[in-house]
Amino acid sequence: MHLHKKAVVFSAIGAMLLPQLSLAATTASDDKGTGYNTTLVCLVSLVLILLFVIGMLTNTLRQLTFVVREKNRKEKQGSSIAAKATMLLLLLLTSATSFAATEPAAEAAVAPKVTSISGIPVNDFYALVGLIALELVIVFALTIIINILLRVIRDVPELQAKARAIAKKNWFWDKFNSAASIEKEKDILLDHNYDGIMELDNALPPWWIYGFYITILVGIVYIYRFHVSHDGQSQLEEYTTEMVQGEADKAAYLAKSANNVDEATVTLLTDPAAIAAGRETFVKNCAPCHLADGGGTVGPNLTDEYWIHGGGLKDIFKSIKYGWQDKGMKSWKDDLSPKQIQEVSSFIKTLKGTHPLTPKAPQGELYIETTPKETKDSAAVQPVAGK
Amino acid sequence: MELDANVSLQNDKFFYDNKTVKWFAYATIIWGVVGMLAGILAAFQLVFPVLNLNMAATSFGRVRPVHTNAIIFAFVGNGIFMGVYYSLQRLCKARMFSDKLSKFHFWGWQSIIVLAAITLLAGYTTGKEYAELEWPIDILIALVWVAFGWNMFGTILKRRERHLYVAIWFYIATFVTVAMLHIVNSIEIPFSFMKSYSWYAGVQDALVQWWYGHNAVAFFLTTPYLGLMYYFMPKAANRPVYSYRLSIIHFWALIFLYIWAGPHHLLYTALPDWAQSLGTVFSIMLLAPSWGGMLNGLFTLRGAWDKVREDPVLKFMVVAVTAYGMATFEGPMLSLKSVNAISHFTDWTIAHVHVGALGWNGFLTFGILYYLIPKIFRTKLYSVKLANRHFWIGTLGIVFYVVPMYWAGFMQSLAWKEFTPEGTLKYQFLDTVKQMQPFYAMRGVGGVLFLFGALIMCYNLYKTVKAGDVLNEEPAEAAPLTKVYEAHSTQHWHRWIERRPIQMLVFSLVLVAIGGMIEMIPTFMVKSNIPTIASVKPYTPLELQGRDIYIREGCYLCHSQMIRPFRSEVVRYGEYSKAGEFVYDHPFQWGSKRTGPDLARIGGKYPDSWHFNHMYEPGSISPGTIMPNYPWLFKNSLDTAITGAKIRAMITLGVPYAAGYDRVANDELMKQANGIAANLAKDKITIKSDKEIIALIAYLQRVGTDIKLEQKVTPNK
Repeated sequence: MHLHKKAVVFSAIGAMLLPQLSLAATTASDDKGTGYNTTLVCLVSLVLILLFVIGMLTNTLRQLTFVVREKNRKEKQGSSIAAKATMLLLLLLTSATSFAATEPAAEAAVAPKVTSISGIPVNDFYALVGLIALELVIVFALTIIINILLRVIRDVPELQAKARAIAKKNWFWDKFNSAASIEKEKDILLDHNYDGIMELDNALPPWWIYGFYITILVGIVYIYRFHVSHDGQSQLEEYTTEMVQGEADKAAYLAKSANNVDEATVTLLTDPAAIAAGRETFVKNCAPCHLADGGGTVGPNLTDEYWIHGGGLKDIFKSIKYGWQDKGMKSWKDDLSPKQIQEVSSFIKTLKGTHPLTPKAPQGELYIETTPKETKDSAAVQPVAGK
Repeated sequence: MELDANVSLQNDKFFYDNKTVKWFAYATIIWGVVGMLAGILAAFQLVFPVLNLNMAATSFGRVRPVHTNAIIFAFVGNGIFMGVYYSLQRLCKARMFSDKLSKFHFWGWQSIIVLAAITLLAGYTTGKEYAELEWPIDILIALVWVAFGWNMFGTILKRRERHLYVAIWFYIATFVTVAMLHIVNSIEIPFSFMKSYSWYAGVQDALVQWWYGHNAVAFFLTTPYLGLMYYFMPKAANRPVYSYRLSIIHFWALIFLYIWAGPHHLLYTALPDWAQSLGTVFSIMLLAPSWGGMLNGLFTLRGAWDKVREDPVLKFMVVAVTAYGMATFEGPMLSLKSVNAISHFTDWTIAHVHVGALGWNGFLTFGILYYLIPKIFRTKLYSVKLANRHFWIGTLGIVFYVVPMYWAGFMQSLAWKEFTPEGTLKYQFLDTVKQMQPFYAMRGVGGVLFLFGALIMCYNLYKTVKAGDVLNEEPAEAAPLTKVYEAHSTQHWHRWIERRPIQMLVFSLVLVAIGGMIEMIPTFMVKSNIPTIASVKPYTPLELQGRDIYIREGCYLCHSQMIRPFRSEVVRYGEYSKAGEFVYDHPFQWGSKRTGPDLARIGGKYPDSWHFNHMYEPGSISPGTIMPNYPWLFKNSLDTAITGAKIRAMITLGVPYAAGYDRVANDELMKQANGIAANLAKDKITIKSDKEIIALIAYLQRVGTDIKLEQKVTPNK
């Protein structure tokens, strides 16, 4: 498959660079079947592009140092320049070592994955980000050094000429763009003259014009894939795939975790840690309507004996999970995990009989816990939710 | 030969009008500073909401359009006219066609800007981004724009230069396309002196609006500035333009392809898939033509790079053109669906446009100002050193602005999409907003740096003007054109149209009209593109009034109403948006940025009292929010005198209210308002039912409730 191929090529490049990256790439592609991790691709592309930039800058720097060295040899008394050059070399060395340091930094990232950021193991993610930051620093440092060198060179006219000669030798660039060399420019100067502005008639850069053709080709293939052959998914097909996958992932996870409680199986938690977690979730999500102490403002008071939709643990669990849309209580099942809902419900049960600062008047019916085990409450008070 | 024919004739003596250029230059500088100040205020409002000052006119929703309009139409607009008036005269070897038109153009444009600032702060807005100005100002814009075109064409027709230089091709395309965009997108039906409804609704309105919005970038921020680059860059570098052939191809390809790309602002929305795909592929094809301009600019500096190191004018221009190249590379990338899925609605887009606005438009304008002012005032720039300082501070400002915004956009989008293994969303929306604070602050600092640089320029240019001796009427001479023209036998075929400005105008118009027509006509005519949903009904009078308040306060600038078909969005906001839901939305309110959460399914999600408290003081409900308070909505009474006119306007637009409904509309309105007030009273909130907040609550509770979904809340048994 097309995408798969891409992932393979990409992993190959990754493998050359940093071994564990290719690992991440393959795991990412394994997870999603045919997909590939966009974030990872972006980050690694950035790493590569910056490496390329560093390569180019280093090359320029190398050429410039030759000029400076020659300048030093000629000016024997030029001690100040020699000092500058030594400083530069030192700088160069430091940057080189810092560059070398990227390797171990990246190596350190093979640690076991605990969590991941958009499908990339957290360590790898930060290693990549760190690498990019480091590369940026190097680019910055190289630019500064090159700038200083240029200034050193500019002090002496003959060396300046030499630097220019190096630049002129840059025939590759001209050839790459199919440009007439500066000396031969006269041959392609047109007889146009607009307020002194002349025009050359250089050929179109081949990479540019072929790039243009390629984008047109890409455009045609794109339309063909998505609207003629329908190989590419429409946005709604993509959506269906994503939802099915999401549900499958969720089911697979819940099947093997202790998290899988629902309104039928929920039990009261009494462990202080669970209650504390419930309190935290409550304060963060529920306080705007029920107040942090459960006294109620927009939503009802949760500390009294009166309940609109039943005050049993299972009722509360259900109210949180599915909400009461018509009364303004939203469904929280997509925001909170079943375990979190269980914690919050258990926390709410601890509120009973507390004394909030500004208690809202009781609403609903007096709720009396039928059995301490709470097995029947749901059947007793609550009809089918959502109606 | 051309020259032989002219030699025998006497030269005409005439004067270039520098005075108008000078005025436009001053206006550019002043409005630039004003626009940047508005931007900085808006930027820091997102860090410190207290800066909204609890007043309508200073709230983010009104300041932000002032910022965007001031930068685009006041700063860049005046920059265009400054550059065009200077270069056109010299390229045509003729004075501007009419001094009166020049004067009308200048003062007309400045009054539009002043009116725009006042009306936007007063809350008069059409609710369509970058086309916010209301109908009387729209008409004024059309008039002034035509005056500009008339003046330009008059000048071109009486030119003393046979062929039109590439800069003028760009000016012509700019004139004709902006006229077309402005007129088509501004078709609206007025129902009061300062208010109107967009003629189009929903999906169609979105398509027209982004066809306009995208091409405002293309033909207001790009093509005229490319024209300016083609004049000022070779002038400043004293080098011939790199490639005439490249100019031809990239010009025609650019104007033809650009116009199609609008739908890339609407990827994954309710816009039909085929239109989205056209937006994507034309954006990809646009890459090379865009880069053609950059290449022709940068390669023109071949052999002059030593000058770039010395001359601040060239420094600014080089960074400008490079920023142009970066932005136009990024644009096609952002048009790819997989990238857009991440970038859209985030600060990534904000970073992207600011590479263009600060880098390309800002720096090119600065370069031109540093070139022009000393020329007009016959002196040298007061301080090259200060100009260099400006250059570095400005560059730093851009970096400080865009890097945090790229970072922030990327991080926030990933956070929005992240699920826990239990299948729930990892972050509440507000969590991600709080994470944005440091980035917003850094962005503000970037803006301050950029403005500081601009202020240095103001001082530098002020000193230059002081030291100089203005040359308002610059003497020039040139031979008039002969009646008969004998073409050079070996001339390039394109020279033909370069001698024919009218044909060039017509041909450009035809070319730019094609893309829009092919995308719009089927979207308007073919029923299947917007499947009807029977349960979608027109707004009640109170909801309609509330919607107009929503538009007035610029809610759409931070809240989208478009749930894309992604798992993360459907779980967070509700069922994804369908095309048929928006058929009565004049104008559409899909938005383009989610500084706050999407509101497409806000209706019924929270009780009325929640909205009441939240609008009064959002922080009381959502601690840490950056949304402003809206206390004036609780004091202002709803203007019910206008309800009938609004209903009548909607009926004209085809919204199926019963005949005569405008007469009973206010009764219905009061009934619904009383109901909401009573409902609030249950939660111990006392408010009169004639306050604006009641209407807004009515609207918010209606949004997105028309389609009955299979109950998301039903237990799975």
